Amino acid sequence: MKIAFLAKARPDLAALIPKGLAHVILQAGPGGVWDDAARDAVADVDAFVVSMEPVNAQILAAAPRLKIVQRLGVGYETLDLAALAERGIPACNIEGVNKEAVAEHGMTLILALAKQLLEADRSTRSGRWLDARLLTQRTWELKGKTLGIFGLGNTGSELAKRARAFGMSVVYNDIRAIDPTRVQRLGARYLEKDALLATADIVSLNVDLNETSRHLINAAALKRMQPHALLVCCARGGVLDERALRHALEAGWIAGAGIDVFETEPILPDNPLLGAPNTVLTSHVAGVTDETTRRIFDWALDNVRTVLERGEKPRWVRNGVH
Amino acid sequence: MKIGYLTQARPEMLARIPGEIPHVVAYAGPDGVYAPDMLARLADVDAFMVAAEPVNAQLLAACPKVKIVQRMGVGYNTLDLPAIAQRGIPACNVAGVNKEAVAEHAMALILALAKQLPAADRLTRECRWPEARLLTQRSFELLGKTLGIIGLGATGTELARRAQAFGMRILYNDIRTIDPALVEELGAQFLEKDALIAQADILSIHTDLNPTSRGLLDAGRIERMKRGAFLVCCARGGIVDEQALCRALESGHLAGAGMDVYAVEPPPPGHPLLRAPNILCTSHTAGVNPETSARAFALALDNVRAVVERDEQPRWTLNAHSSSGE
Repeated sequence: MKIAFLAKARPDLAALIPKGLAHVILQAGPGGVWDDAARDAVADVDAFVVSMEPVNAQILAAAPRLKIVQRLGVGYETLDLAALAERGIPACNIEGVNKEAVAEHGMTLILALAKQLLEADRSTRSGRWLDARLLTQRTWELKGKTLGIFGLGNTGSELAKRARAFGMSVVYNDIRAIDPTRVQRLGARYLEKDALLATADIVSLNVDLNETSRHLINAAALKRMQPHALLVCCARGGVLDERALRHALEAGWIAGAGIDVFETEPILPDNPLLGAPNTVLTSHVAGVTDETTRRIFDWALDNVRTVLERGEKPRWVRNGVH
Repeated sequence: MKIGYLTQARPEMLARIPGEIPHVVAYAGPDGVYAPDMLARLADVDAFMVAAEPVNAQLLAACPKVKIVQRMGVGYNTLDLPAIAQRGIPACNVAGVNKEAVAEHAMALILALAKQLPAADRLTRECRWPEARLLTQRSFELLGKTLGIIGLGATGTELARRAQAFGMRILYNDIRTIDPALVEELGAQFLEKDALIAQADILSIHTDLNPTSRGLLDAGRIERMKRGAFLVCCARGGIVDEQALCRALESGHLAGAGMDVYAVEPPPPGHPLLRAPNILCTSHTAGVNPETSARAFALALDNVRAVVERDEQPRWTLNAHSSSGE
């Protein structure tokens, strides 16, 4: 068994690879193009374990022995699912591994916005006590407020659970039908998209990125939100229209935004959200903690071994190959 | 009825005072002493509604008609309770009015520390993406971690409820006996102070400031905290030894701290705590937001009316007073 880890240089990842495991670590060049050296290096590998690198026709053609492609995470939009299906190779992600971490990060952004935390910290530490105190004129209690969740999957459900403990009402929207027992356990209530946007004090995006969710939050959606409302996104870049959000924040359509994911990552200096008022920005780290990094790696490697060593069906197949 | 509002004349405080009730506003000097003109204007008031000003023997002696001393918040360390009791009048707070707000603030500090939020936000804004991503090597999940709560009163309980939903293990200590049904509901476990301090990944202080809690977290106890643990205090200044906390942050013994209260407020410029590594500081605002403050004010005013206008027993009496007619 030999594995190609398709990942940008990550010292933390290298440290997790077990001794004695035959492997290479490879990165794509600009534009997702794989160079000849990388293509040669995958000639004898049995599995790709993929961080954020693209798995495209070019690299697939160079890996004749490939039996499984395994993402180190939840999203799988960088994998060419159809090409993999044609080769009969399962494309797998990992589900549920970081649902708690993502929910924690979502709650962190919500609380930081509601309490004006970063500005309060800056003012207090620079000796502007009164300015810091005056910020409370714009702060809130979460208790009694309504959280609107788009996507009541793994992370959305975990967020709902935490929000309920804060005494919030939870409304949700999902294109899938959600198990009524789960909805009841969470104390959540279904609303149509427009009603949810108009009702929620805080809107959290917890959907996958797919054709129905691209620019789910655009100018029209932002216009429906309440002027005091907050928007939080720890899902995927592209779920919200960043230019429209910048405008909404500047025009006062909504009061603040906490964003972990961007249409272009790494974030570029011309990103519309840089310099927008009342924002907290993080760098696609919601699901990444010391604990989740290890857990993701262990679960991914186990799924690879399931196929290569145990000859069994893998979990979390995303391209219908069984 | 005439009310003496003991508050710094800040616009947001004054805006809340209903115009139809006769009132005056007065405040003490920085030394806690009321100037003669302040005392003169308070001479005929029936009640004090108190922000953060002291209520002491000097003030009480100048105001013979006062029938109740009412805080517009929860803490009462600025009230001289024995002196007020000696006058035979009740001293009251608005217990529990901001318990949710304080618990939310403590959770905001805990999460922001756990996720390295200030640095993550700054590095992301500076487009230093790989560095921002590498911060995650020091960030952690609350899931499965141990939260130690000292003081399982109103705010401590609310924090425990929230932490429970994050899958945290909850330890507590309290000098009072806590209702076992509540402890069970919260899934909390009692530990002696020193054992709790040694086991907590995150330690949050929720006691009053009183003789048993003053200096509670001294240098020795901070040293006994787990290496890499976090300390959060939204209670009162004076409970945590600030110098010792600074040393623990600088040496890396503690991974971070979130502080809302200080021994001296505002902390003097150049206070070392404000420049300590991995610290988040807010300005005694945990329990303050427009909704909570409005609610606290309304409850405080109703308590004053209960005593002065309706001749009823007030709620939330803090001192063992024995007024005439009882």
